[in-house]
Amino acid sequence: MKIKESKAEIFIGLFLFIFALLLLFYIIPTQIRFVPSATTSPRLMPRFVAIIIGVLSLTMMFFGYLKRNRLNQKEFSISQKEAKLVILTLIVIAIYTMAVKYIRYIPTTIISLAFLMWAFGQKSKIKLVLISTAVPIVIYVFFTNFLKIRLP
Amino acid sequence: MIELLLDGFVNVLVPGNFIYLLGGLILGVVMGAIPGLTATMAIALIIPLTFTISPTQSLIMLLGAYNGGIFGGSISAILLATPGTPSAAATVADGFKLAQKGQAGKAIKTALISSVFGGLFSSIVLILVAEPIARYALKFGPGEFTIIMLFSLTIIASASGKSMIKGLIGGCLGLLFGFVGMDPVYSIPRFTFGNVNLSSGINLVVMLIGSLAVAEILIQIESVARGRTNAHLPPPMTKDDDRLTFKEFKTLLKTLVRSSALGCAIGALPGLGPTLASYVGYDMAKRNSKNPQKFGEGAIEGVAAAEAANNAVCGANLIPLLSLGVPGDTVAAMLIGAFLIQGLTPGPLIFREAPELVYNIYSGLIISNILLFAFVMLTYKFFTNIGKLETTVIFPVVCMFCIVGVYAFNQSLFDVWIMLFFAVLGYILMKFNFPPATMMIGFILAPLFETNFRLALLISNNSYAIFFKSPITWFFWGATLLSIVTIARGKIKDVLAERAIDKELNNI
Repeated sequence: MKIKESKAEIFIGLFLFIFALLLLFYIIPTQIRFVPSATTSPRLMPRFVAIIIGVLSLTMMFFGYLKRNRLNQKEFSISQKEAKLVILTLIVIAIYTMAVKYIRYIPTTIISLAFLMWAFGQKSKIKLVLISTAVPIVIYVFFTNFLKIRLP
Repeated sequence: MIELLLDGFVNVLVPGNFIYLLGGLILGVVMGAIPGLTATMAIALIIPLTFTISPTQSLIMLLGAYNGGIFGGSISAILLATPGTPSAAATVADGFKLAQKGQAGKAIKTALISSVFGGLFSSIVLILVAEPIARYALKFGPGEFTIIMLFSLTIIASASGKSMIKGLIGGCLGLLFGFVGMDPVYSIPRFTFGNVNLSSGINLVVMLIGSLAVAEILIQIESVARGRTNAHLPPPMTKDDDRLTFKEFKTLLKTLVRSSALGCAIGALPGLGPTLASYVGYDMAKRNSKNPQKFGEGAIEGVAAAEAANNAVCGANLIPLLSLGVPGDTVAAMLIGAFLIQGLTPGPLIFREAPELVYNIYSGLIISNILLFAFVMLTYKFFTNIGKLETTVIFPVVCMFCIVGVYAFNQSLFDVWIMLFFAVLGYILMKFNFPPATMMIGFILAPLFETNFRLALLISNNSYAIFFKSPITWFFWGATLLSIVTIARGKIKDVLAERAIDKELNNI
């Protein structure tokens, strides 16, 4: 997947502009209580920053539009293979975070580590088993015995 | 001062402390030498290990890792043409060319001696400058601090890289995340979405590990998908190919002093960092060289200039951190996290509250440079193998370290989710060339700026005159203005250069 710099700037600018509007008209009013007698309201700074984000996102869109016909534009790209590996890593971390409470630290880490190593292309079974078992045990011993921090 | 410094040396050299400095240094060099793993990541991994140790042990270990990590980056830059850390990018040009000629040993030793020289130079500047600034800073009130923070915020623009808009957006996002938690004046929750875990705000270390370390791993994972190659380098032909002779060192002296001074100046200004220092140092050395045509073809002067400059940033970075409590760059921001873990707040008061610790830090910095020299001289041959470590092992392992490190911070899995959120955000930002460092600077400055701004208005009965009252505020208004003008001038130059390239391309 490839996207030209100008196009990316228009899309990101649009996204950020909507985000700034959301901040100003929904998130800030619902998430920060109004203090009637306040000399400097708790909403003051967040509002100010939201307005700056709005202005900057519009500027970004404008410059993206001006750049649209430029020849020496940068292209942001990610191949399907690369994206798959990144998403897989994020999913593994997410599942790990959910599972570690129930399955406990050492088994969850062994499984996750071995899976990630395998997904990254590690073919040696010896390395897969040795590293994925040794690392969690060493971390566990170090944290629980030396740092006195209890792991799940 | 001398007495405190000598006490500092004794304290750092006590085996119980020294071992932490050595450990941090080794980890820093190793991680710096592995392409993709940076000095910042080394510090991110070490911070969770510092809960149970003393402030001296914690900070000297982190400074050792910082020093070692910045140097370590040059090892893979020289051997693999892949900078281990961004700040070693300028070293690649000449370092790798030297290695291709069979002079890898000479290049590494030049990088080492230059790094140590730069590091020691900036340590001395730090010792001489930080305390007088801090003493003066004690006279500052909320009005003055607001303007200093405003000045620091302009640094976001200079740390923005090519696109100032992207940098500023990153900074604004950082400011927004900095508002999460309780309001500093009225203690009402802001942006907590009803979640109690967010009421104390987002943890700096959790955010740093997520948006820098894990996001960087995600970026590196892309290169795993593409597959990586190792460089095959010829062995040295003569004895001199493997060492830096005294005659060569003498010719480098001028470059080393110039680059170290430049590195110090850049390091002392918040937001600029070692990468810029190494490029500026390299550029200045090239301009002043009798043989500028040799730069990029394997000039030891090029390696020396880049390395002395980037390591000089390490010590100088602590000047704004210790004297004003303002982080110079991401590493300094992480050091703030380490200070907070120990119940200390860096800033002018630290010289009164914990003078011993400050001098232990100074001594630790000096000793870490000497130790770096001894350690690398003994082991540099071993480090030549580090670049060949398998990415299929190193990235998953570091990933697991990040998770356990974040969990250990509050023993909360909620923090791991926050880390994951920032990892995704950091990845997207990096992918679309938004510098994540600006988000970090915004995040750190948000509470400082807001608290001082609102306190100043409360004290002055809502009168904005408080921000123009004293000569200090005027000085920093001037500095802010100067900073904006300088940044704008630089950006206009960039735009004009881009347009010229466009015109040329259109003509073709």
